[in-house]
Amino acid sequence: MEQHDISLCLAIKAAVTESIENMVFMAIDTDLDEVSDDVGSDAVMASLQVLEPRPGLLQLAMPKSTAVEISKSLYSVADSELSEAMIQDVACELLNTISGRVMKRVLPGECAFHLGLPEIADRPLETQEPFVKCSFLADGNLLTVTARI
Amino acid sequence: MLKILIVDDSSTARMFIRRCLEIAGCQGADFREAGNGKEALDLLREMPADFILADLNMPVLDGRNMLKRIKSSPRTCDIPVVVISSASNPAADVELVAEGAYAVLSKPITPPALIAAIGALFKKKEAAHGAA
Repeated sequence: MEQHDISLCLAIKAAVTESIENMVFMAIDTDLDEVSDDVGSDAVMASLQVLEPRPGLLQLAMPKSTAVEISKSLYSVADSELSEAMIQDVACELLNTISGRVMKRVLPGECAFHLGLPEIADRPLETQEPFVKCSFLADGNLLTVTARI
Repeated sequence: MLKILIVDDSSTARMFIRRCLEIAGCQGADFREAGNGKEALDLLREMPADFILADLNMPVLDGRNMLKRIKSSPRTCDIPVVVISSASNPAADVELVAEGAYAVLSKPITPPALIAAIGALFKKKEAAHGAA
């Protein structure tokens, strides 16, 4: 892995940990060497474009079960009170928050950046180079962040 | 009663900001919500707010242009606007404050960050309502 990818990985890990722990109060585990990163066919995915200072892309993907657990925790509601729109909005807002934190870490000093609006995605990003993919467990629930910045 | 307008295109973000405000001491406030800057300006025409918390990156009318319009109107220019952004940095924050933002906070906000940034504003507004 190149130095830029290592820095990006560290930035993603820190951003996911801060965002999930502060917003959802779930503990994040970043050491997933022996855990599959397959988010499954029912995955909830959100993507966000980096517009400036250079084009980039971030995607958050998680099994539906993870999205439900995070949404329940955020809204403090039961499964039956969650709508698909709420789950999708949670995915988009989480990615939005994570993306801002990643950019602050990977860009030097006071470099300005501009992000697009997060959108629900219908397929995962290709993970060959130059994308970096990081996987996490949030209270035992899998989520992944893939990025090219 | 404090009137607080929360502006964000994400219903999750609006709910989260409201919860943080309640934990920070605004439990009894009259919360209004708007999904973008234009909706916020429409709401402000109907009813003033004691202060506004607004996202920077929104469709239709973003937080920066909403702030400019609020600050350019004699009717709304005195309303403190707190900008909450996932894409802020020190230089951009200084620009927003120069354009009239009361404070700029980074997502995810927390109740302690809210209290540190705008606790004095809460107390001042509550005191004004108590005296009225």
